[in-house]
Amino acid sequence: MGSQHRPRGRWANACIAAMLALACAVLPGPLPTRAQPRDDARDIMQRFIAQMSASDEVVEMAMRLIDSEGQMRQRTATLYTQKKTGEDARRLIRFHTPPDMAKSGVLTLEHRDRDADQWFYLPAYHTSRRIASANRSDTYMGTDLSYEDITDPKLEQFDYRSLGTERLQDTEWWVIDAIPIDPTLKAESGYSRIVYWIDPDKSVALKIEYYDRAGELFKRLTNAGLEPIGRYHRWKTAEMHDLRRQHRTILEVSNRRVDQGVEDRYFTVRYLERGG
Amino acid sequence: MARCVRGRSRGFPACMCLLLLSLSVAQRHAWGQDQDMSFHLSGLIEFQQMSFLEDRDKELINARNELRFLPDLEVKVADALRGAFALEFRHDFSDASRSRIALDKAYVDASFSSWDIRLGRQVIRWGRTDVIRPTDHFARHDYTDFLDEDKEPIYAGKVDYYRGDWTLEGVWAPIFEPDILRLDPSNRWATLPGRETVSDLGSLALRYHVDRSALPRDDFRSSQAGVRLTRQRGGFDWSASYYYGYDRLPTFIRQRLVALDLAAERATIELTPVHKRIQAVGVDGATQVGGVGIRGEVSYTITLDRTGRDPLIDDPYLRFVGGMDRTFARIFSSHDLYLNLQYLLDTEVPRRGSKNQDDVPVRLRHFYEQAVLAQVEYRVSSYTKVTTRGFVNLEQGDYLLQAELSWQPRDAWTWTIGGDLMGGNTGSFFGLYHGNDRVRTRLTYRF
Repeated sequence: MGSQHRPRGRWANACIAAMLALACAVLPGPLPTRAQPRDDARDIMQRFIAQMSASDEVVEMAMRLIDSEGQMRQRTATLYTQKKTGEDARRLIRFHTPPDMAKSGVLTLEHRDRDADQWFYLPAYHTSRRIASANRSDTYMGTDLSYEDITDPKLEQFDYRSLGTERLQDTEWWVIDAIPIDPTLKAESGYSRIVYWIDPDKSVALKIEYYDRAGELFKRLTNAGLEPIGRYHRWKTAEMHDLRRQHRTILEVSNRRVDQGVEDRYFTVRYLERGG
Repeated sequence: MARCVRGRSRGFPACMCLLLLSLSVAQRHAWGQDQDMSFHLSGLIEFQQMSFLEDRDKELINARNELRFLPDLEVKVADALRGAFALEFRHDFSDASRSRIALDKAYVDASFSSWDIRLGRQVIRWGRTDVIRPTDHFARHDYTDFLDEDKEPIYAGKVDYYRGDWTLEGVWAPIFEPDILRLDPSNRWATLPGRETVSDLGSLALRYHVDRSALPRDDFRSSQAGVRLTRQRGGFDWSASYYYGYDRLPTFIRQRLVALDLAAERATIELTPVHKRIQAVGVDGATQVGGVGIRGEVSYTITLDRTGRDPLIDDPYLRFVGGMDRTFARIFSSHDLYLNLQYLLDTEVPRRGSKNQDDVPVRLRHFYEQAVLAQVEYRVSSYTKVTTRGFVNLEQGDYLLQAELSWQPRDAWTWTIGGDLMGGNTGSFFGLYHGNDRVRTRLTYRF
């Protein structure tokens, strides 16, 4: 008994210290503190990307394209997405209106090791056409989004830093600055930095600002109408504002299905050419 | 119009029987969960105006003022079973011969787990290149205007079988339907003289009568068939194809003087289009390298004159088209630039002296031996673009230059304005049509 209460020796202290160090390394710890902003930001972004990455998703949406003079064009479309093999995403967007775009669509199969395969179908051509995969910064189907905006960011391609927090709509949003560090991305991206406003609890972004290669604020994405869908959270409305052209694209989701097991056949040229 | 309707009396009921049979079979076996029947009506209304700038004093039609209405009904019986029906109403106020009511499509489409079937009146496109496709054997053209690019439908059954990356396509067209030609001196692409000076007789007005007795039969004996094997893998799409059918353009046109009225100084000439069997094998492919689209096609056509002794029938010939295209995004503000360059070859293999281009009375089939085709498209926005396209015959130097401004002032409305210029040496193809320079405008509303 007396021996149990005697002060611990050097060996015992060393063992405890070693076990604590191991535990800290292996077990998930509490949220990083402000003393480690870079790790904080990266961790939040990792969870944000994971939250965005369902294995499949079908989104029916209406798009409003509004120019600087207030003139509006409207499109309705269905977007099918599947992420089956890690980072390789497959996408099919099928337009329903306006009439001159009805049944047209674009099928995109992304690959880690080479350029994406892409086919375009317009009923008037009676056949699909393989098209050269777009540059990251090219506009997506005439909207204010570019191809890199609809692609999930790859964690390792950016350096993330926390810029602190900002309270908006009764929520404390972490402001995270993402700067491209991957040489290929730096060469191809239309952005020099992207700033996210992220809720660390739900891992969703209320707002994203995009800065052009000259460092000027270029576009702003604003989301609204957050709703839970299964184990995910999704926005009902998104507005991308091109500040240079004073042009806006507003996306409104009318129906969304997540992780419902979208069949492989949707991501084929055969289905693309069926026109819906 | 007469050409479109010819032969329907026997072919149409047979095709409709096939449609109904396929509908009943497919309804039982088609895959898909959605069994709700739905109807969708769409279509277009279009007005097109063209004015030819030269040779207005000749007996040629100098303008097109055409109104077109094309309602298109789609019936969806289930997710995997649908039918489509479209009727074209076309009225030309300046050229009555272009006015018509024609079936634009009428087919049943069924989809099963590993195969699709489409039966009825449809457009079938083979090939992957732009504008000119050597392997596109089932495409039918309306050559009442050589520069029109719309394809005419045919009656056909088409079956696609899918296995992994492979697709095997079989096509059977039960009745031969030729390209549409207007063999009349008033048509600017017919190049038929309206008057001829004959020694001793002086100048005679010429009339033409088209004798269709030599056309392939209006029954299954004139059927055509083709198979095409396609693979899409590793960033490369390719197909190999075989076609057994007919020249859609007449292989040759027999001419015969059938009446001579010296008092009226008039002669009547009978034109007899003759279409001969052909076989063709072809390969086409498309890929992309570093943002550049690369596509090509080659087709070898075996005619009935394999020995090269019949001056009326083409020698076997090879056609090749290879090209590349690229889009340069945001070259100025949000403007994009699209470039497309193609090389075209049409030559006899083996070559036995004179060329098909020199011999063939129907020049529309072999109008170049080597040529380049370039397209430049400047896209100001998604709604406004300027397109210029140039074709140059490398052998004879004749050319076609087209320019067009396309604008969508509102959704569903498209307005285009443009012009076509052509020229070249006497005897060259577009040199022959140097008088067909024209300006054109078109307003289209889609619903």
